Amino acid sequence: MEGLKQLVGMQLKDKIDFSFLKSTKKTIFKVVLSILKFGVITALIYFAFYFLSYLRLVSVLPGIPQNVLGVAFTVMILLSIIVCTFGLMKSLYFGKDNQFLLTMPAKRTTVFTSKIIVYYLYELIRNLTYMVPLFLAYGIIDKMPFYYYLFLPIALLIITAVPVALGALLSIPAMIVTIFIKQNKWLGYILLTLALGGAIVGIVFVIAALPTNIDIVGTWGTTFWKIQHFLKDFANIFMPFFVLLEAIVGNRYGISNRLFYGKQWIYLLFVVLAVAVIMALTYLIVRPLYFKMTSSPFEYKRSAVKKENKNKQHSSFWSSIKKELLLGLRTPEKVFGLLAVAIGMPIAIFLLNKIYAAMDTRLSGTYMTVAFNILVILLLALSTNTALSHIYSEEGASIYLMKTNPQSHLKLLFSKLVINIVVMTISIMVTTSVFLQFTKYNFWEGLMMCFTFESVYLSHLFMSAEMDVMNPQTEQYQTTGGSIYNPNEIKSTLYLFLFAVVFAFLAFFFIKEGHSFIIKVMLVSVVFLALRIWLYTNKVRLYFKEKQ
Amino acid sequence: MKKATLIVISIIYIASIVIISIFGMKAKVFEEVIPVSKIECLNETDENVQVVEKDGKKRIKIQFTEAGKVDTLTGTMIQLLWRVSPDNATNKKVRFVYDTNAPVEFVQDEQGNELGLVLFKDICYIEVHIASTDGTSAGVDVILWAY
Repeated sequence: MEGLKQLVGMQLKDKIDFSFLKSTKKTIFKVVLSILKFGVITALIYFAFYFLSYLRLVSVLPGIPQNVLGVAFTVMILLSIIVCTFGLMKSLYFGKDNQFLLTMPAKRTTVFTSKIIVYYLYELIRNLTYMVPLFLAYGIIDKMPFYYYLFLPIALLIITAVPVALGALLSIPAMIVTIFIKQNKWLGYILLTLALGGAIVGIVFVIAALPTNIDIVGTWGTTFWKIQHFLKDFANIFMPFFVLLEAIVGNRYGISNRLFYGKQWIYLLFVVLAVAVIMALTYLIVRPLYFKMTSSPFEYKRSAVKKENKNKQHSSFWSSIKKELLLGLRTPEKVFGLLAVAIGMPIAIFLLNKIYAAMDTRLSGTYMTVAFNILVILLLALSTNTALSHIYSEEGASIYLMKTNPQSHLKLLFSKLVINIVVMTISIMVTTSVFLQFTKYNFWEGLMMCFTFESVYLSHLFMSAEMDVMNPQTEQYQTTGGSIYNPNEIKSTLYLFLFAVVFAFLAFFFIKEGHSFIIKVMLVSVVFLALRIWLYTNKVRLYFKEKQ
Repeated sequence: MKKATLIVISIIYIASIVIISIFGMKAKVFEEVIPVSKIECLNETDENVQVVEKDGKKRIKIQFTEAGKVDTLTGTMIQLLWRVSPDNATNKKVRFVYDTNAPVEFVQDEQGNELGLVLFKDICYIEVHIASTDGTSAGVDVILWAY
């Protein structure tokens, strides 16, 4: 038992930062912050429930019906199951700490049990932050009796066990699929593309389905019945989760709440038994597999490359771009941020304009919508440039390799910016065309608007990169591998807000003069871009060699 | 993108909608009063009650098990569900007209509004009229039967 406690403690420390416990001040701060966070989340959920109840959108009676809580609960528990499945799969079969833990003076079963307990505790903390506020808000809005709140801690322990038990069992098929995808990378790419494409299409479809005239009061009847049908269908499809919910919160009939009645006790017993059976199955099936996997670390084995590619000679510039592309693919976390903005920007603008279109605006309101569109597009596009304010410093000590490269420095440095430029240019073009769907500007005016966005984006991009050339932070990246305080990044962020606001204001003040405002704003942006390119090229040519 | 930048952009995004809805909307001239034209009963058969429609009147049946208690909201009870048309009626409140000698109790909230939850003290057969409170004659009759 002592060994188990120590193993759990060790692994928990790895997952959760307990460094605040060393200082009383930090502990108090952490506790107060956690309580505040808990209170804010509960308040937010309560107000969302209150709003729904006030509009009588989900029920003709005051309060929140159980089906609504059921939808939120099902979504949360499904997410928990997914997170637990993949988390436990990684921890049990691909965890690098496995070999170390098995050398500890503890039984192998203890190591396995500790892994499950760690996940259970981790899930418990997560549920305490998100699931408990949901049940608390529901209890407050539906005026639940005091013993409902007393039962919540016990309910929390039971709810947490469900995704952990299921996750442990489902980790086997997840592991098999992961290994198969790792062995067949093309399948991984296809699945990723399909998932991403599906998600984008789904989001766009939902946004497109938004009514052009949002009038909840006027369309209450239709909306109410649509919601009722959805809730009914949802409850039928995800029936097991609703059984679990009834085991916890009882049943609500009209405005009366029934707690701790016969059926609820049966459901509760059923849930506890189901968790126990799944845990027993986990012990019987997963445990031996875990021992087998940890004693044969297949994931570190690499099969020899059978296919050899012929070395093709490319130009130095293209070779640099290819290298950056390969680096990007090998460190996906770098590319994810860029792709998220590039894909998210047109969707965000689509949603924003759908909301604007639903408003009955006057002329100045329409001008505001154009100005806000410009502001949001620029803010999103320019935000990707802050990462470029340390693009060269990230190389750390390897920056000297670049300096010794017998190629033009300008070409080498510029090649690092090409991927960002290409991805964001495509995104800006798509975003502008989405924006134009909601305006009366013609093709040429749209093209000029696109040029304006692109010019401001490129100006900020060259400015951010130039900051890194003039004030490199290589030492920080060399020693820590990252940067805690990077003045260039802060400056780049400040400039991003400044540029976006200035151009949005320019558009707002010129727009009264008619459609010709686009030409004026575009001219300002193009002149600004020319200046930034001139400064970037000159500074690279003059100072890059001399900088450390 | 840093978390703080993302939060600020999100705030600006939401604020833009709020600003336009405050400063950019067309002004509304007056508030129209919309009277209630119809009230209908929405109760349907479920695991608690049995609903039968006869001569355009809904009859809601429930088996009497124990007397309804108002403090715990337990016992034999029927929750009335209704819809007021049009959906944008100015006053959507309703009142319940019934024989006050009948062994039933209509649950009220803190403000004294009747919520349509009927507690049965004994076996009984009662006719309830759900009526509008905006001065119109709109309403619907429902029969409640605890057997």
